[in-house]
Parts: sequence; C-alpha cells; structure tokens
Amino acid sequence: MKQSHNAKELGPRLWRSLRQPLIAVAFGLLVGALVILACGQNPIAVYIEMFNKSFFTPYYLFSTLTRATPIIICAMATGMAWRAGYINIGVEGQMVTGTFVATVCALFIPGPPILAGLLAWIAGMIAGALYALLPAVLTWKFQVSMVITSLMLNYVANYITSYFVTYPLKDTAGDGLALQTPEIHELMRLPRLSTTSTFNAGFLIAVAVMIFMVFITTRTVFGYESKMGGFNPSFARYGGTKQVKVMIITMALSGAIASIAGTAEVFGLKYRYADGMLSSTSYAWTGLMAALIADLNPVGMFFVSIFLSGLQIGGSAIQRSLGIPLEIATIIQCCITLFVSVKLIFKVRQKKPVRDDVKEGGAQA
Amino acid sequence: MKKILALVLALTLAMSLAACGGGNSGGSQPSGGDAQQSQPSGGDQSSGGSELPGAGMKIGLVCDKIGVNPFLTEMVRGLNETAETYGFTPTVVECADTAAFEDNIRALAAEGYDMIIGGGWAAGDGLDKIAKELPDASNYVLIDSEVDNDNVKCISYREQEGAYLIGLLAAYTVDGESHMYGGVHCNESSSSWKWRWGYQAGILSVDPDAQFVFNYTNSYSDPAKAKELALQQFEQGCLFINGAAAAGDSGVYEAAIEKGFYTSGQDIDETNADNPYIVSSQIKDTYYTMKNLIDEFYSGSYSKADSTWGIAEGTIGAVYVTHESPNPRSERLTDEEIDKIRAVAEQIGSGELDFTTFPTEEEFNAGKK
Amino acid sequence: MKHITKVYGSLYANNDVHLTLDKGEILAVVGENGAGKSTLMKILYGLEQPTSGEIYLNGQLQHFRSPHDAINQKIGMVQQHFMLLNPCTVAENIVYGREPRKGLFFDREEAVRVTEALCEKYGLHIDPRRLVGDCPVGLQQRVEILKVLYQDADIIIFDEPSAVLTPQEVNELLRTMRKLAEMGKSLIIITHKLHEVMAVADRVMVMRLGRYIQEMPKAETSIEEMSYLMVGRRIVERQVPPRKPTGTVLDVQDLVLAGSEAKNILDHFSIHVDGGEIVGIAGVSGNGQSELIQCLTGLLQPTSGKVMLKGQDVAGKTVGEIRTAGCACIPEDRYLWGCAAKASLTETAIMAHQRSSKISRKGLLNNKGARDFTQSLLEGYDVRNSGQTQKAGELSGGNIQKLIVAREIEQHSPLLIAAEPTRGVDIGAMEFIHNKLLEKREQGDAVLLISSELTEIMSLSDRIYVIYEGRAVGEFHKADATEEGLGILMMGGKLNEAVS
Repeated sequence: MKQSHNAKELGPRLWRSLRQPLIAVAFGLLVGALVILACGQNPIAVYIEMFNKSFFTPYYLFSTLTRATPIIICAMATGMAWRAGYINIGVEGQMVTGTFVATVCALFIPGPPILAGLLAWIAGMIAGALYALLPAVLTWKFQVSMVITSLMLNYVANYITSYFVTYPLKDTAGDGLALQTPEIHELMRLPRLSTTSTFNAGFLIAVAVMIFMVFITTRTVFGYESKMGGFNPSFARYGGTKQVKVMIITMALSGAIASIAGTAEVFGLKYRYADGMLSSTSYAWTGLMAALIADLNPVGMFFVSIFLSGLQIGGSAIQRSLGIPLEIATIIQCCITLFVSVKLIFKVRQKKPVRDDVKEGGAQA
Repeated sequence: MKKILALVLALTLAMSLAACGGGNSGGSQPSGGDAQQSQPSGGDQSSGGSELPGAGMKIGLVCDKIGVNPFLTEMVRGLNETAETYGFTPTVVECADTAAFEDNIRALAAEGYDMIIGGGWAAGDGLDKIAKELPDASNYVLIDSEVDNDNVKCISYREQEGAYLIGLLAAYTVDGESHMYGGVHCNESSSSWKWRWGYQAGILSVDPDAQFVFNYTNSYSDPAKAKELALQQFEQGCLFINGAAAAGDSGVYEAAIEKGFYTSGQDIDETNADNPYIVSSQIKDTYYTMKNLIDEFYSGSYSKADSTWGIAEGTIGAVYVTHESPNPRSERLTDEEIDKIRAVAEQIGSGELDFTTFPTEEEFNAGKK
Repeated sequence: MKHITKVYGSLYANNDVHLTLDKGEILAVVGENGAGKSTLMKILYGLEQPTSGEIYLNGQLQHFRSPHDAINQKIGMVQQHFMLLNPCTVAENIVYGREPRKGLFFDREEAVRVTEALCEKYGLHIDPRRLVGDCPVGLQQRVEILKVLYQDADIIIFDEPSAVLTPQEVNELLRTMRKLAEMGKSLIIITHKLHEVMAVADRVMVMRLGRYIQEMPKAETSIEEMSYLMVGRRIVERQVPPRKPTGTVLDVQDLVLAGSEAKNILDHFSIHVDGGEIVGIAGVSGNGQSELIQCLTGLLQPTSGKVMLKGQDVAGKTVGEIRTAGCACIPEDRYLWGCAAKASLTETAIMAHQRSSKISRKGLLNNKGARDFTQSLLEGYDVRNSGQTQKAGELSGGNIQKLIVAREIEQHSPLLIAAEPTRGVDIGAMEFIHNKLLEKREQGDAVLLISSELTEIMSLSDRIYVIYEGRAVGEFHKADATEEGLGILMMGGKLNEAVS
C-alpha cells in the first residue's frame, strides 16, 4: 500500500530504494550457495573467487567493464524506447544491422582510415535507426504490435548478416573455418585504455551514451514529452505532443544507440564482425534485463549492466580456477539475476492500488 | 522486511560456514573430474608430484561447451590423463559465447598458464589476438584449425588420408551397384576440400567410373537439412553417402535407415549395432592429439611450428581399418577388402603413398575431364 | 471505534477519533479531502492497522489484520472504484470469493440462483447473466452492493458512492440505502456532498484534518452548519457580477461526428461562446459531451462542420495547433487525460507549457524555470503536496484537480474548456475552482463549462445550452434557466412549455 506522501528523512528513503535489490542479491546468493553445495564446493570460497575475479582485482574489473560496454549501451537503447512506452525488444536486431553495416563500411570505404571509420560509425547508426523504424512504421500505419515485429526482426537481421559473413564477406585467411569478416584497419580501432587488458575507449562511449540519455531525459522537451507519453499516452496527447513524431524520433534514437553498442564491440575489441558475436553473447537481452531492473533510470542501468557483466565474468573465473562446470556457474548467475528481477514483480504489485488510493488521499496533510 | 533480510543473511552465512566445514573434511573434489582445483590439495597426484616434470605447471584447454561432444570429451580425457603422467594442473574452460573465448584465453595468459590450448576453430581468433599481444606469456596451441600467426602452434590433420580410406570403404561397400556417390558436408570451403578430395580419390582408385554429388548444410548442427539433402542424393542414385556435416550427420543416418543406402560418420566411431548402414567412420582422434602434443611438450621436441598430423601419428584413421570397433562390421565388406584397405593405410602411414600434397579443386576437376 | 490514531511518518491521519454506529442507522462521515475519513474507514475494514486505538463490535474488542477479518465480522465496503471483473457476468462477480460448488467445479446455475434470490430479497434488480463490463456505472455499483450483501455484511461502508453516478443513479442509490437501513443494516457513508447527507443520513459526523470535530443528528443540523464545520470557516454566498461580453471567441457551426452506427454522435451541433462569459453545457452524460470536448480540443477529428476559434477554423487541427490558437482545457477525466500517475508534480504542471519560453528554449528544458513555474501554481492554487518530486498519483483527487485547473488557467488562453471541473472534489476545492473560473471570466476570456452537475452549471453560467443525443436542443440565459426546464430538455422532452 502506498501511504505517507509527506516528506521523510533521506535515510529511510535510501534504504527503501536499496532494500529490494539487496534482498534480491542475498536470496540469489543463497540459492546459488545451495547449487554450489550440491556440487560439493564451498560457497564462501566460490563467492570470494567470483567477486574477486570480477570486481575487486583491477585486471578482472577491466574485463567486467569491457564486457559491460555493449550491455550498457543496449540497456540505454532499450530504455530510450521503453520509457516512451514503445516496447522495443528488437535492440539485438538493430544492433546487428547497424554493426554489420558499420563494419562493411569500415572495410570498403576508401580513403583515410580515420575518416572512413568515422563514416562507418555514422552509417551504422543510420542503419540501426532505419531498422528500428520498421516496427515503428508498422505500428503507426497498421497498428501491428511492436513487441512482435521488433522481436521477429531480430531473426531477420541475424540471418541476413549470417548469410553475408558465410558467403560474400567471409575472411578466407587461415583455414577459413570461422564465419567472420576480415579485420578492420588498425587506425580505425578504438584505443586501449589499459596495457594489460582489452579495456578500451568503447567504455567511454558507453559513458557518453549514458550522459546523452540523462541529458535527453532530464533536459529536453523531447525527453519530457516522450516520458509523459510512456506514462500515459492520453495525457501526452491531450497536452499537445505530436505522438507520431515522438515515436519516430524515439525509435530512431533507440536503433542508433543499439548500433553503437555493437560497433563499439567491433571497433574496440573484436576488430571484425563474426557471425553470432552479438547474438550468442546475449548483450541485448542482458541490457534489457538491466533496463528493467533499473526501472529505466539511465544511471541505474549503467551500474546494473556492470553488475550483470561482472556476474558473467565472475562465472567464467570460477570455472577456470575452481573447476566449477560452466552450467553451474550459469545457474548461479541466473539465480542472482532472477531474484534481482523479482523486484519488478513487487513493484507491479505495489502499483496496482494507486488509483484506488488516489481519490481520497488518506494521509494528506 | 528487515527481519526477513536479517534471516536471509544469517542463513546464507550459516550455509556457507557449514559448507566450509564439510568441504574441508570431505576433501571436495569437483564432480566431473574434468578439472581440478588450482590449490595443490588434490590428493590423487600429490605422491611424488614434485619430481614429475610438469609439477607446478598449468595447462589450460579453452573450448566450446563440452556437453557430450566426443571431439571435446576425448580432448579433455587426453588432457587429464597426461596431467597424471606429467604432474601439471589441467584446467578446462568452456565458453558460453564467442566473446568468452578471448576473455578466457586472456585470463589464462594473465594467470600464468604454461600452455593454452584452443580446442577447435572457435578459439582461433582469440588465440591469434592474444598471441600477438602477449607473445611470451604462454605457449599457444590451436587444435584442428589454422591461424596465420607464428606464435600459435596450429595442429591440423591430414583428413584427406582418412577420407581416402573412407572412399575405399565406400567403393567396396557399393561394389559397383551404382556409380553415383554422395556426400553431405558442412560447407564448401577450401578447408573442406581435403575431405572431398580424399573421398573421391579413394573411390576413383577402385571405381574409375564413379561420379559424385556433394551438398552442404551450411551449419554445424542441422540434422533436418542434412537428412533432406541425403534423401535427394539417394533419389539421384547414390548408394553411399558420406556424412561430414558435424552434428547434422544424425540426419544422414536416419535417411540411411529409411532408404537403405550406406553411409559413414566422422571424428569418432559412429558405427552403431542398431544401424547397419553406417559402415565406417572417419576418425579424428583428439585423445591422441592431446597426448602427442603434451608428450612433445615435455620431451623437448616441442616447437611453435605448425604441425599436420595424420595416419602416421595415429590421429587420423577409419573404423575397421586403423581403429577397432565393438560393433559388428557390415556384411558388405569382406575380410579381403579390409585387408586391401589396411595395406593402403600402411602405405600412407609409412609415406609410401604421400597425400600431404594433393591437387586443388580446379586441378582435380580439370583432370577428370 | 475508540481513540483511533493513525500516524504516517510525522502526519496524524487520524488523531484520537471516535465513531459509533447503531443498528439500522445511516451515519454520514463528512469532511474535506484529507480530513482522514478514508483512513478511518480503511482501519475499520482492515486495510490499515491503527497506530493506537481499539475497535469494538457488539461490545467485543476486534483486531482486523486484513479485509478478510472484517468480512468475517460482517463488515463490508463498497469501494469508490469498483473492484469488479468486467469480462465476467454479474452473478460470477457477486459470488467471487465464495463460489457455490458442485464437487470441484464452479456451479454457474447455483450462482445465478443465489444472485436472483439476493436481488429479490433486497429489491435490487439486475440480470445475473449480464456481463459487468456492459453495465452502466450505476448498475456496476449495484453489483458491488450485492456482492457485499452476499458476504452477509451487517455494516456496509460506502466510500464516496455518488462520485461517479448520474443524478438519476444517485437518487436510485439513496433509495437503496434507505431500504437497506430499514432492513436492519447499518450504513456508513463517506461523502462530501452535503445534500445527499441531508437526504439520507440519520446522523452526521464531521472530521477535519484528521480530528473528530462534532457529530449531530441530521434533524438538528443544516448544510450551512456542516460546511462551516468541515471547512472551518463560512462559505460566502457568491456574488457574481453581470457579464461583460467582449465578442465571440468560440463559434461552433454544424459540427458533425459520425458514429460507428447510422446515428451521429455529434449531430449538427452549433454553439457560440463570447469573451467574458461562462457558457454551460448541461446534459445527461453520454449524450456527446466527451466527444464534443475531444473534437474541440483536437483529440478527435470531426466529420464535418467548423470550429471557429478567434476567427480561425481549427476543426481537424492537431491538439498542439488548437492549443496554440488559444484553447486550454480542464479534462473531464483527470486520471485519463489530465495527468499521469507516475509523473512528478513538476512534470504534471508543465504539460502543454513545455514549449513556452519560461520552460524551454529551442527544445532544451529550463528545469529551474519549470520548478519555479510549478511552485507558483502549487502555491497560487493551494495544492497540498510534499514537494515537487511527489508523484501526481499520490495527490488526493481534489489536489490534483486544483493543479490541473491551475495549469490550464495559467495558459491565459482566450478560451477555457472546463469539463467536469469539480467532479469528486470537496466543498473547499470546489469553491476555489469556481472562483478561479469566475476570475477567468472577469478577465474577459471565454469559458465553456461542461458538467453533469446541474447546480454547478446553473450557479456559474451566463448562458446554458442543453445537449441531447449530440444536438444542442436549447439555449437559456441565466435568468431564464430553471432546473425543471433544463431537466425536461436533458431527458429529450419538448421545450414548448419550457421556453419563456
């Protein structure tokens, strides 16, 4: 029940906002501990190893941040659309399309590599944006469910790019078993920020995208209008916002951001587009998860993405050093993620009675 | 809510403590046995471990999810057995996604592993990158794939030798009843040409009138498509269809039972008492590969140069010819025929028949005309 | 209920409140928004636990931890917002929670029988097989009441029962209440509509700011006394200065909105509104008022006709264009159109102002400007809040309505459409909003008032149109308008005898 509308001290409020995630993590660790026990290992040792080798040692922290980069950006792409009420679950497809176009441009645009690289980024973002506009236009013109179209377009994007790296654009160096394009020019690659690891400027791009998100959401009329549209479309319409315009811009931005996620991965880490590099890693879905857990708050999404990425890095680490099978490591990750996301259900439950309480604001001063 | 939280924390702590006690007394060994804890607490090899040449050394295998994939389970078996012989600590790292390969290889290099083995082509890109960046951090080995990198020892196979034996088996199985021979492969790349060449050359040496039809699943795991292709090839008159579609082969076997044509598997012994149509299997022995590799490493003959192994090294062969099988042999193959094939295998092994170089696809096709 | 105190943080929602209820009695609990009436009822119904205080039922001390406990003690509550399953039938809704069973299965026929028996017993007639979603609001409320009766409640709490009803439905409801009281049920009504109190209650209890103020038998009190006790001051009889028309602002000509069936929803509807006057549109709800508002504001595209706003035809333009042309609108459903529950007060306040120079420049928000603007609205319109970050959904109905009124009036537009501007708000807020509308009129702007409250229309309007089945069927000047005359036209009667 929602009560006490009056201001309260900060302490309890902070506690209230942190309570759910903390309990969730604790529950997740607990269930994970049972799984670890079941395979005959010591949960404390495993957890120490897991968190040491994901957050608390510089090398692994860098790994975590590197892996978090595309997840953060995907979360932002998801958040951009969802906060405006457009359930875009096609971030993966938009990312794949945009990244693939960017890579192809990087490989084939002639001229100075740095300029070509820049053009490639822009081309990728345009491609991602256009790909995101497909479901938007279908929704607008034909009232098709965006959930379905955006989801299905993921498969289309994956299979089309898969075709291209399998046939015309495949790298024939070595034995040519891997389905991937050749590497992009060295001058196009994002600089490394650490000498020992792959931590690269892509992370800075992720931070920039987050700042851009914060700016859009708190500082622009567009951000305000799209947010209101997400809260209550009728309210936004009544206030005179142009909904089609807001939808088009929102989805285009979402798609462009999604494309940055994958392009940063190619230009900062992989240096080539490989089949399945963006889908088998579930970046978009982890980002979606982060966006939901953080309730679409940009700063929240940033940190939740890093946390989820850390769980994956830590999961690999305990596999390497403690011999815990990958499946078990995955179960532990999933337990924690699951319980963190239970928060959502709590929230939905809490929200229901709001309107009922509203009418007579029981505790109004 | 506070109460609940306190309870949960207390429980977590209690569980963990209990586990601590239990773990220590019980000598917690990992369940699967495919990897050991890095702490030298493992009791099984501690006796005299310090005198073994590999004591204190670490060798890691980075590969795809293992599951029941025999190509990988055999590799792991080879790693663990040699670990007992030489006393090093083996680690197996499965990778859930493509990005994980590079992460894990890098982490192993950072953790000071003495040798990092990539099990399969998926590890190639990661090994290539890290071997360039950290050339001296470890010894990099890539099994069953090639990258253009002097710091990565690539172990590839002369699959054409095995394929040649399968070709012979195919021709003797069919015994001239048809001159159409089929093959369902993964993809039409230059690297898979050696499979097709060996198979065709083997058949042609017995049946000069043979004609071939190959189709490709373009996937490493598409039994449905493989089956469809095999059925089409059978309709075109093929009585023997070579399965080389990785996990897709099961589709070819199914089609073989339905239509009654003959087929062969790849990598491990795929013959099956319930499916008499699988007459043999082209062996790629990763257990021996691993053993050879690590034997070399500790005997001093190890070098970073790429190796290509075949029948002579015992890593390539064919079931019923170089490798025995618990399953009964097809009645279509007589002892005489098998002896003939074995003789060829010995010639290949001794170098009398040299298949290290063979014509390219264009040359081969031109030669046929 | 003795010494009931409920504290939220530092706020006393209920401070040492007493309440007694006799058998067969109707007790009205009246008070402004936020007086603590709802909280008190939630405590009685087990939705909330009191910080201190005790509840005795027939002399026995009770502890209600949940509504379930309360229901077991034969206390029922008819919520303002119905808790009904719209896709289910009336009978299914009524027996929900205590379904008759045949073996393991729900016995649908028995449910219908039970419902019919219940209807018969209490004289509340309704078709048990009808889908609740198809029932008008008045019938839905009847289903709620029957549901409570099915649970065999002896004490029935009505929370703002008339807020969503048409006048006819209200009369029906009041009759039902009397009947229930005669059958020995005890009723508590929470309301701030004082004429209903006078019509139905036996006893009145007044609350203000969480405190028990006074209670008295209805016979010994008057509307004036009650409103004085509720608000804490006298409500002054309004003196409306004569109108000073300044020329036509809105001229609606032959507006047609085709419906899905043959009949037009708006049928050649023509009215005009001058500056400096309030024009009321009276009518039973559902006669095209909602669609009229939506056509005027651009939310719906009219099929044909003209909407001349300051000489410019805005029919079919977008909401933004019409707003720019000089039209503001207090929407009829504040939760649907007027705000978003999750939006902060700042976000609520700047809607439709977001492109004004105070709030933004070139698409960039001036957050300080927005906060200052919001603060001026909150203070100028006496919106009680706990800070601008509070969510709109957390404000009481009256307060959010005041904020919406403030936002729309501060558009300073030549035309203000005020649709049900005081629906569901208490006397204090209602008086406040009415004064603001009159101020707007004094400034020479046009106000189009659309309301289902006839008293509101008659007290504020300079001219009144009656809408019936999408047509403007009559026009009255303030001096000529009588409730009877309007009533006849609203019901579709002929105006021969009503015209003066």
